[in-house]
Amino acid sequence: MSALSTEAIVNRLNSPDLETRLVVSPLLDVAGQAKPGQSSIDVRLGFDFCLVTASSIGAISEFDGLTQPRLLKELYRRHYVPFGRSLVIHPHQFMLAQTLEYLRLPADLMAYVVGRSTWGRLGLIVATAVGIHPGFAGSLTLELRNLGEAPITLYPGQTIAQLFFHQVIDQNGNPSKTAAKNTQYVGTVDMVPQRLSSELTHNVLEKLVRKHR
Amino acid sequence: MQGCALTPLVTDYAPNVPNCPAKDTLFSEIRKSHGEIQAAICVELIELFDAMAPTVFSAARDYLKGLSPDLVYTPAQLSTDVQLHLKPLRKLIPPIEFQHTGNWKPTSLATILNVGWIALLDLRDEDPGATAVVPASETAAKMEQLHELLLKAVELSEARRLWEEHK
Repeated sequence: MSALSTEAIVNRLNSPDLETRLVVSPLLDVAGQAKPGQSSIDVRLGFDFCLVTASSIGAISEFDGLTQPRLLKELYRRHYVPFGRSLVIHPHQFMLAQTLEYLRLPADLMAYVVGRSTWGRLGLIVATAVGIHPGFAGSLTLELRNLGEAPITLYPGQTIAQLFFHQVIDQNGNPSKTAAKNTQYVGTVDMVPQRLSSELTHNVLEKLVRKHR
Repeated sequence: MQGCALTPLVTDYAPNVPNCPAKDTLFSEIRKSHGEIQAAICVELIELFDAMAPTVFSAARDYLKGLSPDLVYTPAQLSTDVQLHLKPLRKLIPPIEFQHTGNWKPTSLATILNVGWIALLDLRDEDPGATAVVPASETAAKMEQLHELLLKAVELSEARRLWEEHK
């Protein structure tokens, strides 16, 4: 599976064909975020953050009523931080954040989001669920955790992660034309997790859990 | 709106706007609170409204354009916006920005709102209501998605605008 060069990524960003166009918008500094000779583009920290309010709940359990979207939302306290303001992530703290950029992948591209090494060296882990499926549309949710020893002040607009793109091919070796329309996070712009398992998995596991209670 | 013929506010155009009462009725009503002279002046002014409207409208438009050309949203601009943003919006690309002479510019709030309205009307045309084929929940979900995309466009076009201002 080959990765797209920065030049190929920029070509996809400018594609006149909506079906094949890659959208990463707004790219506030194209030259700085998509450096020639590399194979990625940098993305920035957005304005929305979700802090976990662990003390207000028991354990997160799929089968104790916490998997309903309304209840999952109760796990988080939302913060909007505009340009020029900041938020501190303390050692060992976990929070959700979003990329500033809105992303839409065409049917034949998938991506990986990876933290920038500079942040990694400071102890900041940026993303754990790194795969982005073809057809994804929305701002990317980043799972931030400070593994370092010092608090880190985060400013919306800082370049925090990078995206690597790969072409997806079908069984005949041609660029895929079928995006995953029904996956959980297509077309969403919200950070809060929606469900832990597919409907089938949830139903089967629930029956097994009930049987053993 | 620039280039638009003025349409009088009559019942068939805006059914919630009541017709102007007869002169005598109006005079009696105004006299109760403002006295005879003011009531007489107001009643006589009504005949001048049609003649004055284009002048007042033109002066207001020129004033707004003088403050900022972007404040006046023209039919021509609507056509351009729809051509530029409607199809992408249907493909889940919010109207955040557009390219102008090689540079990216933020879309205006008026553009986002108007393209949003057109997209919504379009959606209603496609799914006029709940049917056996298209359940109400599906239409509601599409409308919710449109709403979220437009909110994202407002947030990120503002981010682009702030960035350009402070570059």
